[in-house]
Amino acid sequence: MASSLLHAYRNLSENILMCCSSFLEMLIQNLLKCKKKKEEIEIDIDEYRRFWDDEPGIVEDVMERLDLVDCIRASNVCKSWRSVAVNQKKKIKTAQVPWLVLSHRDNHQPRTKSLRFFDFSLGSSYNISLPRSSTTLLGWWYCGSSKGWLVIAKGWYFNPKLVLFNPISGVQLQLPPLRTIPSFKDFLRENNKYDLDYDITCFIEKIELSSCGDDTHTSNNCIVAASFHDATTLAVCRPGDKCWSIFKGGVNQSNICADILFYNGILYALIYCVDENQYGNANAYHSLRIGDGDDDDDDDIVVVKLIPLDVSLRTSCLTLDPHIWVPVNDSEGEWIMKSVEFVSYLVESNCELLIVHRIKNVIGSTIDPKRPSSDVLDLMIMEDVETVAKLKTVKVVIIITMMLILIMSMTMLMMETKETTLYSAVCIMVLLITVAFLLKVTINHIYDNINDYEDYYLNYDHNDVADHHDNEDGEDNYYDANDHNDDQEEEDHDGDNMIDFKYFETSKFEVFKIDDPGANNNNMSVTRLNSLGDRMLFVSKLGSVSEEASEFNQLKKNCIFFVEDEEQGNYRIGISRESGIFYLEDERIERCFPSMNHMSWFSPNL
Amino acid sequence: MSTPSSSVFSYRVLKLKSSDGEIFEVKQTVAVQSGVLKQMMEDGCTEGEIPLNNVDSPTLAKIIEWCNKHHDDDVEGRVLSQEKEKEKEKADMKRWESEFIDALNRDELYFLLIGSNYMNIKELLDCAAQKVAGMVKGKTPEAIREMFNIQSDFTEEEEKAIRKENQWAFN
Repeated sequence: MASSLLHAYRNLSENILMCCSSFLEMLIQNLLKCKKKKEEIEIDIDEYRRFWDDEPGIVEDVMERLDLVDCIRASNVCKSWRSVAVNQKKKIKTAQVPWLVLSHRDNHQPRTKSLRFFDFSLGSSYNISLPRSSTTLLGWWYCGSSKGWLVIAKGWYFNPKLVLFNPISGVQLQLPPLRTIPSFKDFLRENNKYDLDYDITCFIEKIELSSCGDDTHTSNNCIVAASFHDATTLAVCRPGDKCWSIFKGGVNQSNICADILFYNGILYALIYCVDENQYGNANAYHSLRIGDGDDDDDDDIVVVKLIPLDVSLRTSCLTLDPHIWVPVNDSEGEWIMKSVEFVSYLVESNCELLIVHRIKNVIGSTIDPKRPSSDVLDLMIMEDVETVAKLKTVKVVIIITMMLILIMSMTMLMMETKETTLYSAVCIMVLLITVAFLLKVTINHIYDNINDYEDYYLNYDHNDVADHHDNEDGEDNYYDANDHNDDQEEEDHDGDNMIDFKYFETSKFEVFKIDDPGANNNNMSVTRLNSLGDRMLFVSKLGSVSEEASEFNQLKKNCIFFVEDEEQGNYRIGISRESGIFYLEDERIERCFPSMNHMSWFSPNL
Repeated sequence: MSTPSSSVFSYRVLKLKSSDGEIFEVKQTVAVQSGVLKQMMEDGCTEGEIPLNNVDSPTLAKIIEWCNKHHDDDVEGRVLSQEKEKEKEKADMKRWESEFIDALNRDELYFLLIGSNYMNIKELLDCAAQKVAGMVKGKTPEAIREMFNIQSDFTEEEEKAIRKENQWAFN
């Protein structure tokens, strides 16, 4: 009995032990499993990371769908992502809509040290500094942009140095100096004659690159074309060349180059003939040799194709009426001129070559300075008085500072050489006299300017109508005066002349597709487009781009973004501060963003 | 040697083998959306199982679901309806696509990207890449790393230098 009990007990304990052990075993196994599982998860994460590394193609696919800012941020995630973003061999084209280059011209200062851009899809703006060096103390002239490159110029106004600058990668490429273009000297002479502030951006009409190039080899495969000097000069070069090669095949004073564009490797130039009969004479194809001429192996050939503007005009419903003069308020004294003008752009969109006409209503008037006028003009002139005064003050301060520095250094020099104090005192006296003289001249200049403006301004209140119309010989006088604003400015000193005054308002756009850009000019035909499909165009005088509207950038399709592009330079007579969006669908214009002068588009690229 | 009729029959359905050994049968008309499978069909080497070593079974199932939705079974049989209906169909498809993509978790999305890239299914790749782009949009590098479990392999100095290069983008 006892033995059986013992046996049973042993069995039980064994059983219990067995259970325990199996339980323990289970427990341990479970614990181990957990640990194992954890290890597995850790491996998973590692593998996951490795996967991103292994699949640069996928990272690229993602980056191509990002806008530039997000792409730059994403390139900061890890080395493999960065290598995708800054790949020199295969450039990523981000899904970036063009930035609006904001005007930097406060106080009419044409140079700047940084540029401000606005991104429509994100609604944010960025300030990007331009490169700094000893030759850019006054800043850079911004002359335009093309395919991810800004064209900026530095140095003295009589010998500016053009540079291509990619603000994202920071790469700079030298272009040949503007002095190698014969008409640049004419430009300087004209500027000198009219005593304008030197603004070399007036000389550059448009700069266009053949490809966005890759940073290291751009000089080999990128060709830069530009139209200069009221679009009467067409020239090409490669980055790093010593001089520009001038196109002599039919762009001149009477055949103006309205726009240029590289399309399928050919440089297309839209030609506007002053004399309509000339259109037939223009040769379609030209070839132009680029290079310094000293080394023939080094030379490239650019094919230039001229597109006469009348091709698109023939099918346009646009009629360019002669100017109409309309009397205002039934008084014979006041006349308003109404007319229609247009500006044309070449744009590549969806592999098609487009001609875009921007049609503007022009309202012009010759305003008697001695009679009450519109508030707009008052405002404009007030503004100009202030800005001119400010600008001149800055100049005076600069001159004084420079002189002071000179005096200081001279004095220091005297001290060192231990010359007599008398000698140094004489020097200082001489310098002081020079400073005083310069000051006097500058201040006189300011007062002259201000007085001129104030004359206009103050005299508005006097209601004397009679005496000025003797000067007006009708329309011809108007046109002459309009062509020579500056002449007229000089005449204004007499006080009883007229101010020409033009107001531009964009009324609509017309888009034409060139059916076969390769065709000869006689066979060239265009088709009017009523819709751009999913595309949006961004047009400006300094360069136009087409982009696809998508859910991602949340911009509307089938529209044209436009900005003010009246004459640059110092002609203050025309007012057309407008920019906006034109919708082709219902021919509606939305003026939804503030208008400033000197705005353009820029497509940033990595 | 099989009879011509049986070979045509077997040709109609492709057997896809995922990386973990599961077999999926897919109609040829559906599989044609994959560039790789299309090429194989043209070369006539789709007999037997087609191993897809980069695609596991859950991902392959998702890919096939996508392809089934995106192909018209009987294009000829159906009378092509009016513009309006087409538009509506398009919108419905868009909605289905976004629901399909949004339902995926981060890992599934990633493997779907790999899979569609491997099998060369352009529309799916577009859709998935767009989704990832949407996830990355507006995020700081740190947030992107966290989201995708990526460790930064930059040194602190390198990272500083890179940021300085395009300071404006980080403000």
